[in-house]
Amino acid sequence: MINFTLFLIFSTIGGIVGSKLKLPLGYMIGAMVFVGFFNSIRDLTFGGLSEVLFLLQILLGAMLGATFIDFKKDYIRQVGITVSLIFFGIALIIIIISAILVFIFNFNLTVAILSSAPGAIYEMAMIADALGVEAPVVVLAHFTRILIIMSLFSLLMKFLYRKSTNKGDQKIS
Amino acid sequence: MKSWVLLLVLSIIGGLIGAWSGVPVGGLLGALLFVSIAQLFTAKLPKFPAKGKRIIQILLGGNIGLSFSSDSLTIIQDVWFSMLIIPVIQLAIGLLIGFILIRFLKFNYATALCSAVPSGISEITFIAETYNANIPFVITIHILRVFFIVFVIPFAVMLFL
Repeated sequence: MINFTLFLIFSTIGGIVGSKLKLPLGYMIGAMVFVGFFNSIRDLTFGGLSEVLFLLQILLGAMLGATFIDFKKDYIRQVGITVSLIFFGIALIIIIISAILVFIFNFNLTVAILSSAPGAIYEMAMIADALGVEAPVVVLAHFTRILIIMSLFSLLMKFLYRKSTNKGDQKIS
Repeated sequence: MKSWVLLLVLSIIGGLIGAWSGVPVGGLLGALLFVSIAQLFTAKLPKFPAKGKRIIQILLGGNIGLSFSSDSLTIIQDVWFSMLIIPVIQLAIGLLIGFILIRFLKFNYATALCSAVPSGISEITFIAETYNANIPFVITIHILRVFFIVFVIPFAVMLFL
């Protein structure tokens, strides 16, 4: 029980610090780094509980399922082709990137698939953790994905917007 | 209150059935399936409040931190370069899909690109809003993307393991 309490305290402190530092996904990254750091360098024995892990899985599933309130059924017909294309793109992404990671960088295949599949970071981290693979690597891959894609994509959208409106100083609504 | 109780009951039942089925991350998949179906047909289940999401994020982050060891830093040092390649390829393929949507399906460029680029839903929604994309459409596409990946990947991994 003491070990679990320590785990909760360190996770919470790390999460708050991560958020205050305005890190992307601050709560999760902060908790991960704080607990991970002390877990790896000190002789502290944190204790997670398997029941907590199971509860986390359920909460994550519920959290994601609840977002379906934003799902618009009216779009079903319209999204059909778009979704097919996007699923094809996802398959391509996973195959190409996994192949590169496995054959060039000697990744474990499971880690490669989980790192390359562009899913929600919390769910992918949970899957990696539950499968007993290198969850920190998977988290790092998705964290980097969000950082880099959002940085580059924002610039691209800005450029395309200016090109489409043909007015360099137009304000974005 | 009733909707929260319903959400809790559905999550637990779904999670228990999922776990019992023996599929990887069965708790997550079961809860997701039950809650998403209920939400699709009723639209009455509440979304998680920000504070609740923070607690989940903290517990999840801490749980992953437990898997850190003295070798972890070495592993991260070895893989950091490959981590830079992944998003570049993902972005390139996402843009390719986006341009197909623009060219052949005559989508508005903002809606097409925001739908196709594989990034976080919250972040993409912000950009979609800024550039006047069709936000409900973009969110719908991304929800389906995440749902598809979360459901398929554990089984795909099971096949390869």
